[in-house]
Amino acid sequence: MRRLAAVVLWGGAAGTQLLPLAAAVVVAIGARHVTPVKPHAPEMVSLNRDIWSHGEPVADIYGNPSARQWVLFPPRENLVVPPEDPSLTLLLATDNPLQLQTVWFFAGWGAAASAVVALLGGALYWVAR
Amino acid sequence: MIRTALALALMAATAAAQEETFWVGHSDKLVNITFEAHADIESIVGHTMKATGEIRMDAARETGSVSITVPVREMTTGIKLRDEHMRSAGWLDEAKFAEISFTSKKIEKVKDARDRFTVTGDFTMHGVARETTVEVAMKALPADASKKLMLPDGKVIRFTAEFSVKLSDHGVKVPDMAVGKVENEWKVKMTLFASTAKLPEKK
Repeated sequence: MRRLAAVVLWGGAAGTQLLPLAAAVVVAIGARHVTPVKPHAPEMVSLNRDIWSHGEPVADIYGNPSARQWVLFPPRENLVVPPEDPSLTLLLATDNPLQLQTVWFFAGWGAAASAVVALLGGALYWVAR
Repeated sequence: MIRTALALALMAATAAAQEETFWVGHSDKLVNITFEAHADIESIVGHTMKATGEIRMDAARETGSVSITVPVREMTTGIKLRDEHMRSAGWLDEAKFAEISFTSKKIEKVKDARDRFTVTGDFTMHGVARETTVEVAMKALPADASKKLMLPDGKVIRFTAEFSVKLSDHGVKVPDMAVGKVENEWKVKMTLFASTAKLPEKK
């Protein structure tokens, strides 16, 4: 019983540390700051380019942009740096990309759940001592 | 008397000639509508490429009307299960309210802005109509646009609009959840190419 309680305690404690750490590693390796864009059909893009003039939003040429955000491991073939504004990185995607926010959300809740498990293990250890 | 009648007829004919109707929905390639909201877990961006409608414009008088309809069934969020939730009775209730629509009541040109209009009208979702004001930008496309888009001959314009919609204004209640709660307010962006070529008749 004590041994089981110790495993639960240390497992939970490790989870509180390792989950955010693993998330941080994944983020460091694969995060990109992009403007996600639901792409227009190629014909629309071509005509948008024809009527675009300086000062107008660039992302709108390629599709409907949403708020700039951090995403993880976006497919390279879907990343576009528009010649009209090379400071932008657009992510042309029809599906929702994996967002940094999602990883932190699960890492945070995972760490919180691990802390609860560790507390339960600690309580059990104390009772079984 | 005859002279007055002739003048009135001439004025009516001129007015009719100045008003043009642009049709929306010739092809999925000409429609891109997105809707975006933030949730705890992620930012949700849904979209559809299906819409039909008409935009009447009188360039000389700077007046017109807009009417756009979007089928709920064609709206997607990128996750099948979430799409089913969105169309279910708890959310948009597609079985009862199959379409979302906007019908203008008043159009005003934005002062000192070329091709920008403020359009006020009824936005109807989930069977509830709410007066909404939308800023719209319209831009004429080059003369060969119809050919490039493989449409019958006619003028083509690009119509873009951005506005916010509160689900609660339309009787849609965001479920109370401690975790993963979705925002009540959604941002909508529409990019439509509309042509004076009439839509093909539905069979």
